[in-house]
Amino acid sequence: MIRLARLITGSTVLAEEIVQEAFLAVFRLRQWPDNPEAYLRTTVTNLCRSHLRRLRVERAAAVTEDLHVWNPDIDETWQALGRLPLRHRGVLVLRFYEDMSESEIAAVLGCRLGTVKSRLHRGLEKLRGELS
Amino acid sequence: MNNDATEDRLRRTLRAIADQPVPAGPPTFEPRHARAPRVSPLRVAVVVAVATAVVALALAYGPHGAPGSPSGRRVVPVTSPQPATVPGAVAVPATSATAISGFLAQSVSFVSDSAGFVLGLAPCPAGTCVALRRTTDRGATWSIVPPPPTTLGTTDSTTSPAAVSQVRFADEADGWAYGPGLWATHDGGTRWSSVDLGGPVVSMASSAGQAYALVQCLSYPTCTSPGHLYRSPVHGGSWTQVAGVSGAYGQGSATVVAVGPAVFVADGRQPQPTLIASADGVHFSSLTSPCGGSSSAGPSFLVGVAASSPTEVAVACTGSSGAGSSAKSVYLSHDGGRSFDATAPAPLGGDESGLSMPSATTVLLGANSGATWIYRIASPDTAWTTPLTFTDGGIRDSDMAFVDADYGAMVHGAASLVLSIIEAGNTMAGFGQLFLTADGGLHWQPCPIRS
Repeated sequence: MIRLARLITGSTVLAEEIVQEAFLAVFRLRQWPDNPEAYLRTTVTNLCRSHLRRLRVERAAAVTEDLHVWNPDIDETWQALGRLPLRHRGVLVLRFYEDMSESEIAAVLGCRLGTVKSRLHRGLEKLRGELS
Repeated sequence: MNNDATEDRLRRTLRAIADQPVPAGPPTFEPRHARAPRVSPLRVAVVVAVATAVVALALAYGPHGAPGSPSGRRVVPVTSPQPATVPGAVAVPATSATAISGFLAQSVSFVSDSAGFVLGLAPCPAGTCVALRRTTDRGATWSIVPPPPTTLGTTDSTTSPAAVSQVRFADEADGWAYGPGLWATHDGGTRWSSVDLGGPVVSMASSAGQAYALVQCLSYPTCTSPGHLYRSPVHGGSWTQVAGVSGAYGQGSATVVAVGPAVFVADGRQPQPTLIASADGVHFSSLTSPCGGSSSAGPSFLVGVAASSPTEVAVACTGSSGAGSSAKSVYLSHDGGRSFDATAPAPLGGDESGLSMPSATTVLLGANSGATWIYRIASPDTAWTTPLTFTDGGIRDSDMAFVDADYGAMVHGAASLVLSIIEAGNTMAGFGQLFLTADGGLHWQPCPIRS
């Protein structure tokens, strides 16, 4: 979960806080969810969004953490991903790291399938533009 | 670049970035510094209390530390205060949200198969206090020991530099509490002295009459200078810097292990992980890490080291991380780390969170993700087993360590995490719990601490 949050936020510190907050949210539940892992994933994803919004850093939420990489392609792609708007980055991480289907992403994010398709398309388009 | 190529490249990038180990949580075997969640509602009051104490001590001892303090490293003797019912505890203002019902373990250190100490949190007249307990009958009974007069440390940036999160004892008299601060006792906890090594202490170990402390960096948090390894006689004395061991040691990624006269230091920080060893605790040389290197396809990241003797060493590597899983390999050396042989691949579930080596052939590996697991291998040629699984959401175990091939201990769900849960208005039974084993980690039993 920390990895997921880190990939979305670009910050290990923020990711740890978000995952902890997500665990607390689960513990607060009066009834244990049927699928705790899915519930946690949804909570982490939503907390990433709300944290970054609250901090008013969405526009500047480029990946600023110095995550050492060893491959120029990976380095370039990671930096390019960090420059994408959060709404696009989150969808791309869920699709290409978590290997979730578009329907599953829509369920996690609480949005329509069409919105996910659109964000995926635009996110990839922007990424391709950044990398070309 | 077409969409498929972009997607492939994005997949590779996300995997590669995710493969970089997230600095592991609470300490490990030769325990690492605990990564504990913040305890923010308490912190302001605690910091004020500690700051007041620090100012008072500074006024009392002046700018050069205690008289007779050796080596320029400040050592400030302090006798723990003695509140009404909990000796040595620094009181945290009581609120209904922070009340706990019993002792919650944070860190454990056994010095023999029967005697050990546990640092944690306990109810006190003022609310919740740092507490220390001692057993001399392998957990059948516990007695109250004054803790260092400070707060519970976390990795949060607002943690007091004097706070502690780990405890290590070399024997029943000589012990240390650290992370990020460092406190020493040489009378079983009656008196504690604060020790200033110039930066946060991220790992400690003791053996053969020497204690070792690994300092993250100097001038924290700006870290303008690298950290160092320091050593001191366990019975007290000056802390001296060990030549040839320096670096920007990370919280959670750096570990010092001492067994007999030998010392091993591992730091998994990328891009330059280091594994160094000394046969005498003084002269160090680099070892070649068995972890893969730069490949993103295998368990290439150095994440832990453990040893059961100066020649029997285990190294853990991880990589290929996915959602809730990661490849984990353990390599064994029988020549002090000069050469390594791979064991069977460890189970994929969870991220590595601790390594322990009770004997030359037995290794235990902690992992956590959606759950918490203890994996065990009894021979390099056999398969890993899973003697312990907690379906706890991955709160993780910490401080897994053995005093011999049979007797070991660990903490499940460190107290600092439990406290934050309780602050949120919850009660979580089973966390902050001590577990003991008497058969090399094959079976574990919870050990309640009542005193």
